[in-house]
Amino acid sequence: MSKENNKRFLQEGKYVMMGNVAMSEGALAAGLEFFGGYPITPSTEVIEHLAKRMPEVGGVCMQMEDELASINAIMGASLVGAKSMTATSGPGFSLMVETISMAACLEIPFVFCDVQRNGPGTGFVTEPHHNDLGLMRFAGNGEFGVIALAPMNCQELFDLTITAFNFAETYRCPVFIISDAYLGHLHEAINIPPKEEIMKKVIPRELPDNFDNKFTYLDPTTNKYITPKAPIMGTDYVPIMFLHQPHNPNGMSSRRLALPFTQMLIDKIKLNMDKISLTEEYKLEDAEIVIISYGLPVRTSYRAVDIARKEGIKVGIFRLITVWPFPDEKVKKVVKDAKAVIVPELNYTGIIAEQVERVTKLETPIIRIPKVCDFHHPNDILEKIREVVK
Amino acid sequence: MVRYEIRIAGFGGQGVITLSKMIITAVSLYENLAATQTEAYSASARGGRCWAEVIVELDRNIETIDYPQALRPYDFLIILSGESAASVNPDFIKKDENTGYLLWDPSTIQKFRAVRQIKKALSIPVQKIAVEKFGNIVFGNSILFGAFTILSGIISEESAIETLKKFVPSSTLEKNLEAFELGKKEALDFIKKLKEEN
Amino acid sequence: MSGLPPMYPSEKPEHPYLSISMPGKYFNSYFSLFCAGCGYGIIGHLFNRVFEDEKLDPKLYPMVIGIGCYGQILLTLHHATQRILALHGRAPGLATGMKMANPKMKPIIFSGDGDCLGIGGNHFMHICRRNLDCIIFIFNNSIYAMTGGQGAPTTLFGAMSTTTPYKMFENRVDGIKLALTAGATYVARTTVAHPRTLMKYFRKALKHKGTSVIEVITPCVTYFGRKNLDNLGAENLGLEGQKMENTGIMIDWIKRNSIRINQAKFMTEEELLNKYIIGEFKIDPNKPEYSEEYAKIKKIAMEGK
Repeated sequence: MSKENNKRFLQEGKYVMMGNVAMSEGALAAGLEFFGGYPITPSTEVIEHLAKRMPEVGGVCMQMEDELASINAIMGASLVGAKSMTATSGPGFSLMVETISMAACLEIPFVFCDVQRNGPGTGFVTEPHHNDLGLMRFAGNGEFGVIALAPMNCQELFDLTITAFNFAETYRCPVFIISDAYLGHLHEAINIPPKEEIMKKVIPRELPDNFDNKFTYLDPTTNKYITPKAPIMGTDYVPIMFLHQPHNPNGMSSRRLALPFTQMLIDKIKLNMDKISLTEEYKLEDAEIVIISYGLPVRTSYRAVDIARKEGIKVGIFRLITVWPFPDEKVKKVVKDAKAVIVPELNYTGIIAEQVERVTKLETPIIRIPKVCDFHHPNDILEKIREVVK
Repeated sequence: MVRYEIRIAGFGGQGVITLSKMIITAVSLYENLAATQTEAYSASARGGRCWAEVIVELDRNIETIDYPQALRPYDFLIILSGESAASVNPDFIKKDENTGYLLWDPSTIQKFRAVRQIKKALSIPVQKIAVEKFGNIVFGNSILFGAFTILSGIISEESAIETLKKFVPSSTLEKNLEAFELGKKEALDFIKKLKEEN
Repeated sequence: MSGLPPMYPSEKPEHPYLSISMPGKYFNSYFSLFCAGCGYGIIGHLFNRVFEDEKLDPKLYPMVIGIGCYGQILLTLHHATQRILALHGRAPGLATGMKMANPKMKPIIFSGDGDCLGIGGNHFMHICRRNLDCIIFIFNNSIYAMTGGQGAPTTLFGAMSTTTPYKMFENRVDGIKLALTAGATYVARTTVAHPRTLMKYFRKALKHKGTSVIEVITPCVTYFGRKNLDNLGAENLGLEGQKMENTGIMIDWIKRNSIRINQAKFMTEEELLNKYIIGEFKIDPNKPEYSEEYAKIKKIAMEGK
């Protein structure tokens, strides 16, 4: 890290933190250098906390005039080699999609924290509602791959933010952190690991080692059309021009390369699924009923599964930490022998349930448990499990 | 799975949220129990109906709280404003032996209907004492925290005092400790009274 | 295809400045994608001259280019410049991020009237308010030319465009007045008919610390000139105009229609309707610059007060 500073890392130990603050601290630990944001409930604490912390570590936190400016500013900062991030909520997110699509095209890495709130429209601003997941998957015009990570407690908000920054550096695509109004405002104890441990994990932004004064979008080792490392303006490591159009390895626009270019934007994520796709399994070995979920509903599911197991019902949880890209193969394997799949989600449509339907080709019954502006109580899930057994 | 559910309700600015933060800090940092805290947000946190909830998992083997919102009936209810008192129902509070306390402030609540039917209800005129005795309403928090520590029994006194040191500026620590002791004394007297009644 | 003249000159032109443009450097030829009579060729060329003469370090002067016809200026610019094409109207936001993440830089923003005063009006206003050290060029051809001649916020009163087929009836926005109100510290307007002034203003802006706004009036023959008569801006004289179908008439019109700032002081509002006031409006080197102020905040924060 170029701008290393002792204040960047909190002292090792246990802290009680709000979710939004834990996420900000995670970003700082990952080497955040520029934050651009616009206050919006329920993500405001992020900009409030970073406005204080960023100058301390030699970084910049700017409150921009609107969401459009904030995402463009973080893209500009990322272009000149600063790790950058923004945090917003649903309405802000929908303003930002234009630039997310541009950043995906230019392969500019940044991290985007979406603290989701109820919608559509203004909605209930302090209530959780996982309704932006679809927007994340298709964030902007054009075709490109994204990564979205779903933490479920404050500790994970810290840890997964570091992972998100690493993914952004490695794959240079928009990386989302799926938080929500409830998780963002939840106070919990978190353990901050020692500085050295974090430093080992973090992938810094720097010029490639084997750079010989001529930038190319080709990977020098494999000669594949995959960006080696993000270009940095203000150094020699830049293409001829930054065009948000399909471009050839030198950076000039090329219609002939439109297909391979689009392929590259999607394949760079698809081909690395084994590294990107983070999942967790809980008592799945002999499970006949599988609960597939992410984020807050997983917390509740753990208890429901424990109680159901005591009653002799074979049920397990498959937790998606990486929600996008959707782990088709893994889910296929998990639901192969399942009698039924239960998908508790904090939305009505069942955005993940739809994906599971797609993967299972509707061969396994899928039971949704929708909740909006509310959470699942263990009993909600337990009832469904018992119903399925009957 | 032994959940301990705490709800605090009052006006914005009375220290509702600070008190909840003190409780979660004491519980999770000094007692090493799993706990979550949530609070009212935006406009409601400043006026009208401010509230905060803390859930503590008393079972040390459990590391996370599954359902992060306090469920009725509560183990501990602190009511500091008339508006929030009006919505309280006697069923809100657990009727078990060692839990189910209501702590309220008669100096800010004129009329509290439900209180007659709640057995373990302790009234301390926190705001009045804080202003008259200590000169500022912020000391009310320490009084409440002292009473909470004794009544709930989920935090040890040492942890409570450590937490207090963390939250109050060192210049007013002595006064705050005094207020804390006062709250403690009220609570001890109350417990004694309850025992005598039985 | 024999018998047709070559599309571009096959021989390398003599002029030494031509080879510093990107096609000149890499393809050994001189071409641009602009229409005949467009002003952006002139602007790009003047920019290159200054860039070369002042020996600017391309690493410290990133070019942020908005969306509009002038986006094609990417090809005409100096081959060494580091260029990024921003989104429509968002160039000031992008430049803010660049400047703040690397305060040594001084971004140069190219943007048009629709880009800067239409869709990006808010961002333009706020970059001026912050007084962020950068140069903003607003190319004003009073039309949305890239999309085919629709009315712009700067379209002159009574002018024709494809979306105002009867006549333009909206009031136009004045980029200079907006910049002055918002707090830019170097504000000037000139036209492509005054190339030396343009170069002079650009040089001044390079030396100035703070937001510099230079509005450049530029002709669009294809979509503005062909639809409008050259009596625009002289309606009160009751003259019969002719269509501005070629560059000569259009450049003439621009010259006639621009009033120096000193003269404009003595003219009434009615006389100034549809006129362009040119000159330097404000030079204020004393106003604190944003990135420097932020550096002070950083210092306070780092030392713990």
